Amino acid sequence: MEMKEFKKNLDGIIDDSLREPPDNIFPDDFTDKLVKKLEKQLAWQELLTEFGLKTGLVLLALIVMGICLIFPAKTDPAPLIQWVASHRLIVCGSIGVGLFTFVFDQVVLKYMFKRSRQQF
Amino acid sequence: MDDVALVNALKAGNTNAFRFLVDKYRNLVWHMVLRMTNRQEDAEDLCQEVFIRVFKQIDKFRGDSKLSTWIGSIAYNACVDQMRKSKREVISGADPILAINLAQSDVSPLLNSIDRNTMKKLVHRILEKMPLQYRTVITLFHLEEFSYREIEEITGMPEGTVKSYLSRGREIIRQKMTELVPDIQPVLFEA
Repeated sequence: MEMKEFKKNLDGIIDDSLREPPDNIFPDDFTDKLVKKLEKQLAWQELLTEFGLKTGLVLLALIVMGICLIFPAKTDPAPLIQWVASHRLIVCGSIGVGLFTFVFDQVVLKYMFKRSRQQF
Repeated sequence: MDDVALVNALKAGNTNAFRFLVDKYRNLVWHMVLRMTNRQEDAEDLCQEVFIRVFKQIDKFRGDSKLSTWIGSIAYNACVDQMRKSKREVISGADPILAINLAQSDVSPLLNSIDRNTMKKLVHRILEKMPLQYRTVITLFHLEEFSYREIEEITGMPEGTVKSYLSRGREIIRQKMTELVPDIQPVLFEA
């Protein structure tokens, strides 16, 4: 009988303590910090998607333009390829500068403006 | 706001709904993360990761289960991933009694004055030292009041295994308590 009572009381204490949450305090500013983090991630995601779409469109336009110029006129592309190969530093540099300007203008600047608007 | 409206607002990308979700379910995630990882210093980052995953994967929520269960499963997987990454304890088949290796310094300050509160603290210490699967199941059942079925959905453990971890877990706590507190009898019969 006493053993039964002992087990019951011990179980009571165990149940009570298992129902108690851990002592560690939840940070007060958790939600604010998290929402800010999410908004930042969403902003980046949106800007990068936009940038990807715009870049894709520009590339598509260039490819279509190239096909239209080369194929109907039956122009031999070999001299053009040769010219690009011999001036690869200038070509790569120009593409690099263009891409950097495009990324800076379309992603980094827009992101910075968005952030400063949120802060003030 | 009920869960259906909340999920729809989240699917529409509403950050105010996200704020509401975090406030509503933060205790569930916080308790799971703390109990599973036993590390306060990582808990905040991991909680953030769980909620971000919830927001990003909300389109996958079809409403077959309760939102709390679904969030619980994301929290569970995030904790297991984190523990694998940091090469810390993952679910093992080791004998749980042997796994609970409480140092004398862990318990001796508690044993100076034995009362019901001290006993409760002792239960928490034992729980902290239990293997991951026991801590998880016990927390989900007793603290978050999930059913066996819901715990199965969260952890992927079969219902029978969940029941077995619960009863074995309780038995382990009982055994450890009586081992650690030889004069446990008077405390239990306190008014």
